[in-house]
Amino acid sequence: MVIEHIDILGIEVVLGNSNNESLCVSDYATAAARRLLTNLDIDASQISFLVLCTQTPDYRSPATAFFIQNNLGVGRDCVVVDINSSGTALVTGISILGSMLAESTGGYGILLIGDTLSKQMPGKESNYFGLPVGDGAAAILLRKQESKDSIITESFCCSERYDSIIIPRGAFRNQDPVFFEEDKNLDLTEDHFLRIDERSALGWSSSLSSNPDILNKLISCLRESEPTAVVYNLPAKYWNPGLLQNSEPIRRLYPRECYWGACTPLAVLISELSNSNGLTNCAFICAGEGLSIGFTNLYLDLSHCHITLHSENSGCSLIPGKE
Amino acid sequence: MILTEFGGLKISGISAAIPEYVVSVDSFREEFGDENVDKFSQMTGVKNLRKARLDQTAGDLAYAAGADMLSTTGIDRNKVGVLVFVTQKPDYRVPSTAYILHSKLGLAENCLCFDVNLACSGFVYGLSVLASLLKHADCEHGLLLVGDTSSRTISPHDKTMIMLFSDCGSACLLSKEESEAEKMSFAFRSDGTRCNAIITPAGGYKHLQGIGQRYLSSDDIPRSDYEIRMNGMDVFGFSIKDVPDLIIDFLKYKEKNIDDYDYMLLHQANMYIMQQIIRRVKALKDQVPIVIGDYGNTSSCSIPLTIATSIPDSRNAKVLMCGFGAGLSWALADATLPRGMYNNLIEL
Repeated sequence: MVIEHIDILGIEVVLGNSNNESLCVSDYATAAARRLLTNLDIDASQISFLVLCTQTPDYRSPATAFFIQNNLGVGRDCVVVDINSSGTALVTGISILGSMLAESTGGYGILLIGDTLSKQMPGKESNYFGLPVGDGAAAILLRKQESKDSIITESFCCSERYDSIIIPRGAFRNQDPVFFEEDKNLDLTEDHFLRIDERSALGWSSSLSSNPDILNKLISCLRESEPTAVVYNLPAKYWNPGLLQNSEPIRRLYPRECYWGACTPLAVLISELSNSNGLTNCAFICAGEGLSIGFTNLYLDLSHCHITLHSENSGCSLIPGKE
Repeated sequence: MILTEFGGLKISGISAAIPEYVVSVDSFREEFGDENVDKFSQMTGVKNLRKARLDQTAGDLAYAAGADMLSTTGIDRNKVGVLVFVTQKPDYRVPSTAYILHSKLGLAENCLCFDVNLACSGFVYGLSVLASLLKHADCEHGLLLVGDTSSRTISPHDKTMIMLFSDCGSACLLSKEESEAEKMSFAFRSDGTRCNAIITPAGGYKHLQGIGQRYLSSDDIPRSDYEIRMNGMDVFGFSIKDVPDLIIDFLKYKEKNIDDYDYMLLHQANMYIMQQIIRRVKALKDQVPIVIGDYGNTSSCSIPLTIATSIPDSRNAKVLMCGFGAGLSWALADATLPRGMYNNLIEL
C-alpha cells in the first residue's frame, strides 16, 4: 500500500508504570494527544479524524475513541473509531488513517496507539517476549498536504496460528456465566489474561518459512524506502535474520528494557534518537497477535517527537523523558 | 461534516446471515403485560426477533455470510487484500476476530485484518474504512464483515431493549473497477460529549470486574454492570434531529435531492424514529424499505440486512445509506448497488 500527500507533524509518547490500576488507555492517549497538540500549536477543533488502536479499550461499548474525543474537545465534524490492534497497531493505524485522510476533505488526523498491557498481564513476573510489561500510548499527528514523500505499508498474517497470542475468555466466545445467569459475579481466572505460546508465535515470525514471499516483500520494502533507521517492536533475537541484514549501514533499534504494547516502536524510536534533530526516514517492522507482521516507513521531524513519563515508581526501567 | 469520495470501486455483493431461532414479541406478554407489549410493538414496529444460540457468536454469523458470498460468487480468495470486521461482540479480547474469520475463509497471507469497534453506524463507517484502504492497496477486493449479538448484553428486564434488538451477521464485497464514473461518497459526524448515552459499564479494562448481580438503575430497571444502558431521550433526540440534519447538509453540499435516490436505507432503529427521519428529509415512504418488523434492530447489520431482504437486483439502484448509534456516531454513504449484484439472506 502506498499513501501519498500525508505529512507526519509530530509524535508524543506517554509511558506509565506497570500495575497502576487507576489509569486506562484513554488516560494515556488523552495525555499524549494533549501534549502533542499543544507542542504543535494545533487546536483540537481542527482534528477531522481520531483513530485509536488498542487491545485494552476502556469499555466494551461505546468505543474508547469517543471518550478521548470528549476529553480533547474535538468537534463533531470528525471521524472517530477504535481499531482492535496492538502488535502491528502502528502499521494498521497508519494504513487506515493515512488512506482515509488522503481521500477526505479533512486537514488533520490524529492516530492514537496504546495499551494498558499490565491489566492483561498482571504481576511483577509478567513478561512479553522476554521483556517486562508497561503501559502507555502514543499520539501521531498527520496532515493532508502535497508532499513528495510516500508512506509505504505492508501487512501479512498467519491466521491459522491466531491462538498463539490469545485471551481465551472474557469476550463472547466461551462467554462467562455473568452474562446469562442471574446473580453471578465474574470470577477472573488465568483464561481471562493474555496467554502467549512463544514457540508457535516465534516459529512463524522468526522463520517466515510458510511463505518466503512475505520475507522477500518485507526486505523489498526496506530497500525501497531507504530508511536511515529501522525500528522493531520485539527484541533482536526474535526476528528472522533476513530482516536484520542489509548491505546498507542502517541503524537498527529494538526494545531492550520494557514492552509497552502498541506504542513500543515509537517509544524505542524516540528514546534512541532523542538527541537527533531534523528530518529522518524511519522504517518500522512490527509483529504481534493474529499472528500478524507489518511494515511502514515514516518521514519524521525528530524535533517534534517527545516522550513523557507519567511516574517513576515502576519495577521496570523507564525511558528518560525530555521533560 | 467530513466527506470522503472514491471512484473506481463498486459493491459487488451483499449477504446477511440470521439465526434461525425466532422470538416473537408476543412471548414477552407475561413478563411485561399486554399493554406494554402492544404499545411497544406499535411504536417500534417490531413483531419478531432473531436470537443467536449461546454457542453462536457474531463472528460465526458474519463468517456464514462471508462464506456464502465468496463460495457462491466464486471470487478468487487470494485477491482479497483487506478484511474488516465491525462488531461490539468479538469472539475474544485478543486477537481481533478478523484473524479468525481470515483463517476460516481461507484468505491469503498478504491481507490486512482488523476489528472496528462500532455499533449501529458500523456498516457505513466500515465501508468507508474499507474503501479508503482498497483505494491504496495492491489488491482487487476488500471484504467487510459486520456482526453483532446485541441480545447478549441486555437485561431480560429491560423492555425497551430486550424486545428491540436482534442478532445478525453480514458480508459486503467491495471490488475495484476500471471506470471512475460512479462515485461512492461518505459523510461523517461523531459526538463524544454524548459517549454515555449508550454504554455498557463493565467488561472493558476500566471496569474489568463490575457488579454481576442486577440492581435497580436510575430508570428503575434491574441490570448488572455488564448489561447495556441507553438514555432513551438523548438517543431519541439525536436520532430525529442530528441524523436528518446530516442528510440535509449532505444533500445540500452535493447539490442533490432525496428524489435522486432509488432508496434511502436507514438503520432500522425503530419505526417511529425512521418515520420522523423520513418526514424531515421529505423522502417518500416507498423509498425507505422497513424490515424491523420481521427482524428487529440488528445494530450494525441492519443496512446490509435491509439490502439482502428488500432490494431487487434487476437494475442499478442508487442508494443513500445512513447508520447512527452509540458514540454517538452517525454517517452516510452514497453508492450504487449494481444490477445483478450478489444479494442473499441465509439462516443458520
